[in-house]
Amino acid sequence: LQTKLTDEAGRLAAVRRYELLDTGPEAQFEKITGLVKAVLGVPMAAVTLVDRDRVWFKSAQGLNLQEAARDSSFCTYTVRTNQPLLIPDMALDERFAANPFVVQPPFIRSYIGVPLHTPDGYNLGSLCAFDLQPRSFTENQIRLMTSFADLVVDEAELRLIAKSDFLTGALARRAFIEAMKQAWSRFQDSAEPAALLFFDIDHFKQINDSFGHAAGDRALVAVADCVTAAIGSGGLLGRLGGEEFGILLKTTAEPAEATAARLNRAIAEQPVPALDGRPVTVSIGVAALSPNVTSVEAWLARADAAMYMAKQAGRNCWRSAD
Amino acid sequence: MPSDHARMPATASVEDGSFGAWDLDIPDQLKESVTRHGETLLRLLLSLRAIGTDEEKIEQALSAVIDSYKSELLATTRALREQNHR
Repeated sequence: LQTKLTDEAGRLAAVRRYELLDTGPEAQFEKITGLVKAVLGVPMAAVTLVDRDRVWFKSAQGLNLQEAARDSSFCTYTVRTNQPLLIPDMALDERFAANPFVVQPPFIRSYIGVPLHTPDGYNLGSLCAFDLQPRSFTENQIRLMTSFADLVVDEAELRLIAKSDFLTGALARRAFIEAMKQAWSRFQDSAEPAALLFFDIDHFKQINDSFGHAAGDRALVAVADCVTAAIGSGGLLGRLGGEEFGILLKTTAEPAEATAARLNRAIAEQPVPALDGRPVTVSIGVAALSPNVTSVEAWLARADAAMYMAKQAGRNCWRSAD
Repeated sequence: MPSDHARMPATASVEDGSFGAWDLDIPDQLKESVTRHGETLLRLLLSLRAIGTDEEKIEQALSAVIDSYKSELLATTRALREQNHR
């Protein structure tokens, strides 16, 4: 688990996987921060997610804050260890004495933060409580905060399971389409680029017929694992049905095409033990968002048509709709 | 359906320690999550007692967090059923 503390790319990928960034307050998390405030008798409590350059406040009670720069956040320090972070008096701690949240409103003086530790070992952010007075926290209060932090992760984990395809761990179709809708809206609102890679496994029916459905399932898992490793935190993988997958990237067409070429190579070079060590190949359609794409359905259809072109071109390749 | 998921046999029962005769694949992730949550609730209860919270407030706190988890669990099992039937 110690190695996960230094795996910042893996941690950021985990933060994105839970899809809580840029989402507003929700009752589940508000209840927990409300309870923290009540039982610890503090004026402020929050659930935070530590992103690359910022901290997102998923729930903030007593604080009028949605996000903060990562380098000014106490939670940045909390996620660096697997232990609660206690700051009894900010003014006496050289790390925080000049922090803007200490020397300016809300004039925070003490803090307890417990990492939101996922079952696979990453710290997403923290459950934290703030006071305007210097104070210490007892062992029992620290245990209580740890239990509340575990509850936050339990809730987030269950939600993630609901969104996941249970075989491959990719997003399930409904969650992936929802992510596409959000990307499409961001493109409409602020021209934020996004590209869809739509692919399926070549000759998958023959794989099932020759090796059996269990081996076919293992091939699906192998492809999903390969793609997840290749795209890292830069994209979202979804299983759209059967042997069909989608990858959502925050890029324009050209980098998306480069990713498609890289995936073709990576998948074709990876032996699948369940298929007697033979690799599988995929055909990929690439469609970046542009003003011509008038809906999510149209976007998906463009990528699907491009994938069909890749099939027509002999498979194990990519084609672009652009 | 995936072979490594816990499809319960039609004859299974609560008495033999399984989840019964429901036609639903329960992924390991979900079983582990529910187990973890039970342990978390127990730790929460003990922690609340240890800091001297009165029984009525403990009950209120537990009810609040159990209700919350219940909603997510129902949503998850609905999603599970959708995947099973796809």
